[in-house]
This record gives sequence, structure tokens and C-alpha cells, in this order.
Amino acid sequence: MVKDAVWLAAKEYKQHFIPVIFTFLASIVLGLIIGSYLAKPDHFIIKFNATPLTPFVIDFILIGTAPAFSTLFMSKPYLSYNSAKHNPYVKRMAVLRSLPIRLSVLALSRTIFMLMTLLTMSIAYLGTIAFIVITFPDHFFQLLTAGEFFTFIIVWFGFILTIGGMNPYIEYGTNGKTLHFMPFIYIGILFMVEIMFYQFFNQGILEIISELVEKIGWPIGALSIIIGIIGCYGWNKLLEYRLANKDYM
Amino acid sequence: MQNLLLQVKGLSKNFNTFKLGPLDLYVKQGIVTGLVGANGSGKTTLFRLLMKLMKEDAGHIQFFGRNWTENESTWKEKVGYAGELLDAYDFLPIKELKKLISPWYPNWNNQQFEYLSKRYQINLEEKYEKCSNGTKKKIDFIFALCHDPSLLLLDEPTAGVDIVSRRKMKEDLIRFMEDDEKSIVLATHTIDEINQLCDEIIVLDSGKIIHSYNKDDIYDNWARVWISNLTQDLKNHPNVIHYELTPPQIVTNHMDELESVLQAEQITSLQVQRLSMEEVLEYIIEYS
Repeated sequence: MVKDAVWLAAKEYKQHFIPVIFTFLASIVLGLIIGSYLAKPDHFIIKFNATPLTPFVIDFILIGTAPAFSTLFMSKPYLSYNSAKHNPYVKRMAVLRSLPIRLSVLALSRTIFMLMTLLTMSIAYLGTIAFIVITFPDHFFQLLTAGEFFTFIIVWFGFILTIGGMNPYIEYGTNGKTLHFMPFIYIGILFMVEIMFYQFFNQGILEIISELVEKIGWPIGALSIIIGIIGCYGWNKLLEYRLANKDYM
Repeated sequence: MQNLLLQVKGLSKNFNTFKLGPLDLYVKQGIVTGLVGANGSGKTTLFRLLMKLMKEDAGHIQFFGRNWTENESTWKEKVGYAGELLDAYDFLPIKELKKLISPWYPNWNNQQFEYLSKRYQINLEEKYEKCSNGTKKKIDFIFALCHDPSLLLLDEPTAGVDIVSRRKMKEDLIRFMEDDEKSIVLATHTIDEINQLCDEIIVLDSGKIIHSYNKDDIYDNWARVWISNLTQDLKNHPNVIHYELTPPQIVTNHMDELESVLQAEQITSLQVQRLSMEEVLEYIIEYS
């Protein structure tokens, strides 16, 4: 089963090499922006001492963009409503459903495709950030040690697994319109969550995570990854159920 | 009794403005079943329900004697479906489509694929999106045939196809049926295909099977009869499908029964003309 799912995911990954390349490049650009931000001393001062607005923006950028790295966000359905409304993902799944492929293989292939994307785009995004903060280490590593930075990345990765695991379900289990509007809905929800978070804790989400990483260390990273794996598994099972009961036309 | 390759009981599916079924359908081994009906009568929906591309609201289906929910991939290996789905991968060349589809069929016959591609003049390097509608139909048809299926589900396979290829497709389907162990369900609007290929004809109207005939019975039973006079009883007779007053004539779907009625009512039959398949289908669809 796993072999078939990997074959199918790899086949489709190859078929979509143009969106893969563009998403890879866009991830590097996002990494450059965040990396430059983290490497500049002024921003750290603002982040940890002064206005609450800056941590809010950093939270918004880092958490807001996180789920994007588990999908090919530079592909047509994400960029064009006209393309999304024709349900391209669902129509592709209709072709695969007409073939003698077990549902569990189909669902797993979507999850593997998501993981392949996540891995590739994380390398681009986090690699770029790491490159910048390592190249200009003076200020960033006054705040976090290399080990803490690594744990922080693991926490972030676990978060994407949890939230990004939803992407295959949205792409293949819903319709094109939902797919196109979901990022806006996510940003709206994030905006409200952030406001409530600040009201309650008077701190940014990433600030609190940074503190947890400093205090607790690697167990917080392990916990995040475990939650991510459970989330991914859950979304996979939901997708399998959905694929069995969906109208593809 | 011949084996049933497909058995459908009480299949139904509700949409906002359309309801398919409940349908009962039986496809015997060695039989070609023609599915006819006006546009929007539910033929394509029926195929998609059979292939599990839609979720039924009710019903029970058996492929090759086994429940369709069990071993779904096993029965799909033995079904060849041509239903215009491949537009979703229109960015791929035909040869890449083949690479995506063929590995899932243990009985995939690459030689047959090569042969049919040449026979239908398919350029395997061409992207699917660049192909004409007729060529897309031919590609669908080839993919449905190349894994040695036992049952073909063909949704208007020759619509938009050129005359020469249409003839070749008919030849290929006749060859497919040669061993009497396989079956075809063929949705079509083409009378030639019904005449030359089909053994049984199922008429769908507004999502329901309104008639199911053996083709030979149609030739034997349907006729236009010119008569001496037309009585009210005759007009209302269930086997009189249509009548005209000048000159008095009726169309019947049961010639033997009608002859008895004419005799009983002392009406003279002036002339009898057997109806063509096209005329019969027009009457069935229009006057049902």
C-alpha cells in the first residue's frame, strides 16, 4: 500500500514540477523576508520590549504563512478563482477513483504528497532563514541559542503538520471555491485568535513559544511533532472517509 | 442461465432538480445493452454511480456476483469505463496519461495499446488538452479496452468521432464480444450502434427506466397499421402508442395483441409496416 501511495505521490509531484519550482522560489523569498527581519537588531528590540504591534505582525506572518508550505500555493487553483471554481483537484481525484486503486492508497498518496511538499518548501523557507541568521548571528543568537533555535523550528514544523495536514482534505474533499477561500478564512480566524491571545496573555504567541522553548527545551518540540503526527493521521483518515462518500461530479 | 456481470437493485440518487431511480438493471454475460434516452435522462449519472464517482442514496450493486463495496479495486480491474474524465489531466501528453493509468491494471496490454493508438492515429506525444473532442473520445475508448476488461461501460463513445474511426470502434466492440463471455453497457444516441451492436435496449427518461426491450422483440412487435376505422376503445388500448385520424392509422408495440383486438372489434387491417429502430425509439421517448 505504502509503495503504491509513494509511487502515485511521486508521479504527481513530477507532473506538477512547474508549480513546485515556483512555490520553492516563493518560499525562499518568504524566508528572506523573515530571515532579514530576525537578523535586524532593531526588530528584536521592538519585538521583545516595546510596541505590541510588532510581535502581532510577526505572529501573523509566521503562523499565517505556515500552512502554505504544505501545499503548492503557487499553483493555479490557489492563485486564480476562475481555475479553482472548476474543481481541478476533485476532477483529478475522479480519474483516480475510476481506476482500480484502493481508497487507503489514494488518501495516503495525498498525505505523502503533502509531506513531500512540506519537506521541500521547509528546506527552502527554513534554510533561507537559517542561512541569514547564521550569516548575521550577532543579534539573533543573543536571544536564542542554536539548540533553542532548532527546537523552535521543530515546534513550527509540528504546527504545520497539524494545520497543513488539513490541506489534502480541503483540496480533494471539498470543492474549488472552498479551497480558494480557505486561506482567507484561516487568516480571519488567526486574526481573531491573535486579538484574543493578546487580550488574555498580553504577549505574542511566538514570544510565549520562545519562552517555553527556553524553559522546557526539546520536550516541547517533541510534543509539537507528536501532535503534528496525530493531526496528520487524523486528517488522512477523514480524507479517506470523505473520498469514499464524495460526489466527484 | 447466463451469468450476471452487473446487477443493480433499487439504485437511486437525489439532486436538487433531478432524481435518478430507483433503478433495477441486469447485465448478462455475452450481451450488449444499449442505454438510450434524451439528454439529461440520467445515463451519465448512472455510469458515475456505478463507478463510485458519486455516492448513491440507496441501492445495492453487484459486479461479477460480488457486492461492489467489497474489493472495489478488484472489480474495477475488470471494468473498462469511458466517461470523459481525463480532461482533469489535460496538461499531460497521452503517453504520460498511459504511464499514470496502466500500472494499476495487472492485465494491461501494452501491445494492444500501441496497436490501437496507431489504428486510431493517436499522437502519443500530444498533450490531451490539444486533442479534438473526437480524439479525446478515441483515447478514452482505447484506455477502456487495453486492460482486458470483462465489462465495458461506455458513455457515448462515438460522439463527435469521425466516420472512419466510428466504424473501427464498432469493429473493435464486435471483436470484444466474440467470445461471448464479456458484456457492454453502451449509452448512445446512434441508431446504427443500436442496430449493429445491441442485444437489449433500456430506455431512460427523467432518471427512470421506462422500458426494457430485447432488440428482436422490437422488430417483431412494433408496427404501424393502417385500418378501416378508429374506435375509442382502440385509441385507449394500452398497446396503441400513437394514432392518427386521416387516414386512420395506429402505432402498436404488440402486433399479436393488436391483431386480436382488431378482429374482436371487426376492424380491417389495410396495411402493416414494421417500424425501424429509429422510429420505435422516437415513439418510446416521445410518448412515454
